[in-house]
Amino acid sequence: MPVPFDRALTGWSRLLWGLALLTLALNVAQLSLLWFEPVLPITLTSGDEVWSTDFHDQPRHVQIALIALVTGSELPWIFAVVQIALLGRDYMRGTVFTENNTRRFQKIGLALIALGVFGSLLHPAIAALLFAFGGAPWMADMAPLFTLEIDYLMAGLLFFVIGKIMQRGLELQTSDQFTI
Amino acid sequence: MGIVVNLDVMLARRKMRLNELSERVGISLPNLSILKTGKARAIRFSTLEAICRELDCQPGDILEFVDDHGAG
Repeated sequence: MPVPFDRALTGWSRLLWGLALLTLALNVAQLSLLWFEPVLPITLTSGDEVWSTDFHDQPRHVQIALIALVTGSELPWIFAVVQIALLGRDYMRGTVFTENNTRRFQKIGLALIALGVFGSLLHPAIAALLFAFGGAPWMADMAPLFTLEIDYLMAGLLFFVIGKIMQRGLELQTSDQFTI
Repeated sequence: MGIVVNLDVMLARRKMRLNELSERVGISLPNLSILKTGKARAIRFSTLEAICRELDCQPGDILEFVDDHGAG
């Protein structure tokens, strides 16, 4: 159900929509251009140990695995940004309390949770991969170590819970509409 | 089916049209139509009271419980 025109809501939503589109374009461009860099160092540290190599020095199958790991870990973020852009577009049009927007909040939440999980596992996964293909021996010890990306997990959970609350609100609204 | 609304039956017995009832009880025709077709999720006591007054009937004449999960 469209809400009456609200200048502030429309303005902020337009800003959100524009920013989300810009973020999306920058992320996709960054990911795409990354692999065309002539020098692309990969540096892993553990205490005093520093191990560095260049992406282009790796065998082809390791390059593909690295691309898959980095791109895969970014996909939830790109998905979340697309959902945020769609949310901004709908809010701009005054379409606020809808089933679609409720689901979008939950999707953004799940995507941020996935981003937190993938982000936590990315460095150990790269360490394990490089160790398996000739990295330093200490990388084997680094593989099980990961930093929990709790910020993303919390933000994701918050979005998901807000989505659930909106869904409950919509159910109450529908119930009220059909109370004669 | 759960709760069945027999508003159409009562209207037929009283030989009254839905739009006439709508004017008498002050409830919009679309809302009464929702009630008549069984799409309503709830009914306010004030609405039930107004309908019963105009149709000169009891709430049980309008609302009926049908047990779908009954024995047999």
